[in-house]
Amino acid sequence: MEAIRLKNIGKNFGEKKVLTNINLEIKEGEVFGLLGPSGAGKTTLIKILTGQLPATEGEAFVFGKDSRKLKENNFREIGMVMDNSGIYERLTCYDNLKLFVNIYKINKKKIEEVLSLVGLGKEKSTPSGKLSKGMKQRLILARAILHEPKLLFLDEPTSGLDPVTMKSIHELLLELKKDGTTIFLTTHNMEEAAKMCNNIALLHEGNIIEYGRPEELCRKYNTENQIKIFIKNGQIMSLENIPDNAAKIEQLFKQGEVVSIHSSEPNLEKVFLALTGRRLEE
Amino acid sequence: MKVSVSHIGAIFVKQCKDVFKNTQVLVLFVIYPIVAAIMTTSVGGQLGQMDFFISIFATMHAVFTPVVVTASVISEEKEKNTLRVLIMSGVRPFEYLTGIGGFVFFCTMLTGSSYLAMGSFNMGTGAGFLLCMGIGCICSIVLGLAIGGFADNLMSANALAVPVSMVISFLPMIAYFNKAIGRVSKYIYGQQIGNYMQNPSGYNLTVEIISIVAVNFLLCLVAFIFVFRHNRIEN
Ligand SMILES: Nc1ncnc2c1ncn2[C@@H]1O[C@H](COP(=O)(O)OP(=O)(O)OP(=O)(O)O)[C@@H](O)[C@H]1O
Ligand SMILES: [Mg+2]
Repeated sequence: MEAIRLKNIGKNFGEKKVLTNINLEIKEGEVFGLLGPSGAGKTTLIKILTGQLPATEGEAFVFGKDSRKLKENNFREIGMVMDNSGIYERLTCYDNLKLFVNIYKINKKKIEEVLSLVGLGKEKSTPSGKLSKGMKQRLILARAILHEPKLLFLDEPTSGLDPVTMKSIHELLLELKKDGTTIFLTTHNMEEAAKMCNNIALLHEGNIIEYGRPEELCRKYNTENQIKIFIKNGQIMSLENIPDNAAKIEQLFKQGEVVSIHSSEPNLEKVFLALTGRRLEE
Repeated sequence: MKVSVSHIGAIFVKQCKDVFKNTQVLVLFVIYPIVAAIMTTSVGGQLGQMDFFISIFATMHAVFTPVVVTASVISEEKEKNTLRVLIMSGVRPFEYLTGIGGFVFFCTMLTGSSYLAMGSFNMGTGAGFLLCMGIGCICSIVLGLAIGGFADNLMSANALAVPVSMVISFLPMIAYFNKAIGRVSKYIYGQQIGNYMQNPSGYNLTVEIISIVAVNFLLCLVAFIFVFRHNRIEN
């Protein structure tokens, strides 16, 4: 059974169309990335999937269950990091998690385990209001994975974080992926998506304009088809990717001139630009 | 309807931990008993009415404190989005409200029982005092839930809860001096609570009083149900 299925989902806020005709399937164990610029409708789609907002049209299913009818036992299988997830600022990190240990009726040993997993072992007794932004984000992530959910919704989990924190979160997520957790991730960050996701969808003005594996999409939009060679004297050679050029490259290698070779395969950022004429970060 | 006792317990425990770090709320729970104790020991005797201040401040304690605390806890959780997280963890709105309401009731009665040590109560009037405070407290909590559910943030909740509960809890004191106000204020539960507290030993419970308090409770309940029907708690 797929973890998530969206059928013809549409969403209007009054007159304003935010999502149109979204169809999507996400298999169990898959890491799925929803990419799009600010205002594309990413958060709205997560809210529909988690029953926080009703869709105007279509149906959304989470583990086969209509997302508007999710019950306590369904929420037990879901973890969430939303852009507005709240924490109890006066309570310590430990007590913030203790509340959810009590709600989920799981062993409280899990608290320390998860805190050290997100690198907050030392902040255990710190009131969470005193944490830095990145630490707060990690605490929210800790809470989301505390009950070992089968499905994680992560709405821009790393936006605004420093590269080190970002990397440690990526490592944690890859670890969860290995354990079979299904992850639904939204991001502006193309690199993040390429690194983490099995499949991605590009959302633009409420439509999914492209869907597929990150590598595939890059290859599909590889319009230039050029190979760049950095040579010892500092020059950059640009060669077309055709058999005739093989000998030329071989010669450069033999002369020991090559510093590095790059294919000019577009990254996802370029794919998006090619499709929409807009940058993701805009 | 399914209800999980452990969810209610988790909310209750969370709130207990929070209150010790939340001076604003903590003060509300202890301020009236402390003021009553000071007034009673310093000037109460001279007025010749030992229990006057107790009745005044116990009424405030049974009305003002629970309304304001309940409303501010709920509105703050809405404002900070922690309520959403709780609901998405499978806590049902009813469980949440019971946990918070139970906590406010527990704290109000706990600190409220200190009045018993200050005044001249016997077994009967003491039990009546607690019962009276409990009833006032429950009405106030339901009112506080309605206000907290209605307001979008802590500030607007307080802007509403403070004047409303002031009126309800101050009326008995004003009516004490102004009989005209008493004729109107007797229809408000704060006045009825105050009446008992002012004269527990010679108190006469009538059908009228029971109906007034019952109607008050129902009005609070209707306000509460109205607010939550319109789903202010779940956005
Ligand atoms: N409650 C609402 N009422 C009216 N319009 C809304 C509401 N929520 C979102 N929108 C609109 O829907 C559009 C999509 O918003 P959404 O939050 O889903 O974007 P997003 O892709 O998550 O953007 P970001 O990357 O900035 O988080 C925006 O134009 C926003 O103004
Ligand atoms: Mg968003």
